[in-house]
Amino acid sequence: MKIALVYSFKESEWFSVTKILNNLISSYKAAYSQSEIIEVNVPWNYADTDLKQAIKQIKNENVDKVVFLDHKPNPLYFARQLRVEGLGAIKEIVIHVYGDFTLDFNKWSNFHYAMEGVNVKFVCASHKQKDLVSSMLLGDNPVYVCPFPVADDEFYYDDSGVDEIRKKHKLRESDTVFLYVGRISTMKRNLETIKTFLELRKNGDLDDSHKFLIAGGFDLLGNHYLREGLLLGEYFRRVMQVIESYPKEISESVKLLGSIKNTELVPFYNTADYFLSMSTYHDEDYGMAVAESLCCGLPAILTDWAGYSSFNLGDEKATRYVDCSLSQKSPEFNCEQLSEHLKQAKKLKLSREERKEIAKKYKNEITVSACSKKIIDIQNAPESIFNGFNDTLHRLGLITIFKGTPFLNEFNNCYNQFYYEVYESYVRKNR
Amino acid sequence: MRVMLEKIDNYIKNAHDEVILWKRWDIKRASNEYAEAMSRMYPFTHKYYFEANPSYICDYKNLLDMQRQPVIMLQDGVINLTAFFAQNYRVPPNFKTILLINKRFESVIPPSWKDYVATYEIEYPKLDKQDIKKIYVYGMLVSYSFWFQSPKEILDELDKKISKNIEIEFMLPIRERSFFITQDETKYVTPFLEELYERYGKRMTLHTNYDQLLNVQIKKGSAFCELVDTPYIFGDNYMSHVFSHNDCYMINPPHVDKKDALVYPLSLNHNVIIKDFDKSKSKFNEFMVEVKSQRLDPSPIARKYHIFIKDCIEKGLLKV
Repeated sequence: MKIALVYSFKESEWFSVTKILNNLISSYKAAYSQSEIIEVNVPWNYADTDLKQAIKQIKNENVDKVVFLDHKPNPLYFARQLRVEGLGAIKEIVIHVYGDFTLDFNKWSNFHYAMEGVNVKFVCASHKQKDLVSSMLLGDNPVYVCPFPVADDEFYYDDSGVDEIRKKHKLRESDTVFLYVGRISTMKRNLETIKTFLELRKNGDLDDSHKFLIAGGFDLLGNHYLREGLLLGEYFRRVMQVIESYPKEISESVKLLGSIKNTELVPFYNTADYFLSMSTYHDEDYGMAVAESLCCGLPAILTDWAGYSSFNLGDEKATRYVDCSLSQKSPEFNCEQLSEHLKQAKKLKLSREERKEIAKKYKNEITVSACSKKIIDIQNAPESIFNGFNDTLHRLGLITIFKGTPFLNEFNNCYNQFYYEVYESYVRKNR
Repeated sequence: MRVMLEKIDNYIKNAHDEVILWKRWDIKRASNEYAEAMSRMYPFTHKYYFEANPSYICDYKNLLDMQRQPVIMLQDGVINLTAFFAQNYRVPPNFKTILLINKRFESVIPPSWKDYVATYEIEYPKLDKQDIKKIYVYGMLVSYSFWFQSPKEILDELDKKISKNIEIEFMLPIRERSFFITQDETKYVTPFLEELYERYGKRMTLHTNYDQLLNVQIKKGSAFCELVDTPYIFGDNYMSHVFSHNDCYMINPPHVDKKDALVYPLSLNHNVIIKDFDKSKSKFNEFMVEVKSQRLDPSPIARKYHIFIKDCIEKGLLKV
């Protein structure tokens, strides 16, 4: 078997995508021998010559399977060119789908026409993403799940750096430390999470031994689907307004750490007691930071939303979930459930031994070596002819051409019916 | 005067969308000509968020419209501010808004406005470590940049600020027309670019498309500085905020004294400092005498007025 890994050799502007891509490449390399794999460059700002060159390379090497690993450019352009030049020896196309699947309806709609009748496999990073993609496919095209892998030696259980982090951030051993790592953004619900935490502190439900550390930079993303953007500094100021509205002795229990280099995160994950994210971000098809923290043995309190749900391996010590629902203007998490989890957190803190076990369990599931086995299974699964996408996807593709955002009801500036149809799978109960 | 700062603090802390200019759907600008002239300075005059309403005089139809916001932080430079105060040297009756003026322009505030103004400064992240690998230099290649310095002089000064082996990315948008559509700005570009290529050649990356400047990926931990100080049209540069938000450090930032001041973080790295207006620093009356003696219409969109301000700065009548 000869596999062509197609991706842009230039790094993405999204840090998490660069990491995912590199780890996926490593997984393929762990699964297959060097002679079975070729790497093909299709830059995001490709020219026709780049596509022709890539196809020429694939044909010269007698490739059987073409695997699209990157989120950009959409496989459509490559597929179109391939149709023109003929498939040759290629027996199957495999596409790793990213969270931006729902931003590209028009391209996927055209992909249908380019690849109809060809063997195509879609691979999603989580079960709910699989449900979302499956709901748009015609016929019984199987969709597979392979998590975005975590590098084996990058995130691990190690308590050697804990004392230093505690000293630096004035944390006591008896403290219960919640940690969020990632972009600080509207749809990540950081503001609402901070507010819930501080309210519990104010009411005395949480005492001063509860700390919430937040690592990451603020972004300008509002709610894209409702065309709600943010100005530079807006989310930062809104978060600061909430924090500063509480007395200093309470507000001090929330600490904004700014961006922390990826290579410096391990001691933070090993120091904290819980990873806390109430994200309802529409592109949250997985959750790289959650995956990395679990590989360090850090239990997580998460929304039962999209990719986050797949971190549930049936162990309540490792993951606790907060329900979500779709409302008119934004997905919402259940605030009472979050409050309950936060209140119980101190009592349910895990021992170092239990955390070691969590790290072991997740490393067996989501690291590069674990995913390489899943990749082999997916590649060996029976081929299946692509029948195309359903009417909903084509309709959404058309809407996207005309108004950019397919889920906006322009009469009331709320979500339209398509939104509920598509995202219903992201809030479906996981437990 | 502590009362003034308390008032401002109260407005900022209790701000809501109704009193935030950029959340209004019905923004009415002074005149199309003025607003368009300012927008040709994009992205340096682009808008950012703060509850004190950072904005330009041209973003308001008139003084009445201004009063919908309890506090306005004017980002304008010396030309627009002197024109505004020369046209309104007496505070209109029952004026209800507090204007925050960049502290470096304190001397152009009329003393009669003392109960309606305070000053602000931006405290940028300071470069205090030496392991900087990259520096961003930004500015506009238009006449204002070359009012008092030639391309050679500008780059000589820049050379003094940055070490030889550092990677440099220049963000220098070129526009055929900038503030005045009647004035060709391209004549300034060629001599500058010749000098730039001569000195930096392949060592640098150059961005000249104003429309793409905000798409440039900024490397965290880098340094930034303005090509040349141009406090004429705008006094609060949007790009400086972009770099501060992206964990970059300013080279030689102005020293900011925070004594008796309100301090508000604009990001995890930079702050806005608000202080009382020091009436004793005002030189407005002397400036106004000069305006009157020249029988000049203080219009921010009259080229003659811009030349007049340039002369005033040259003669030392205006200090910025």
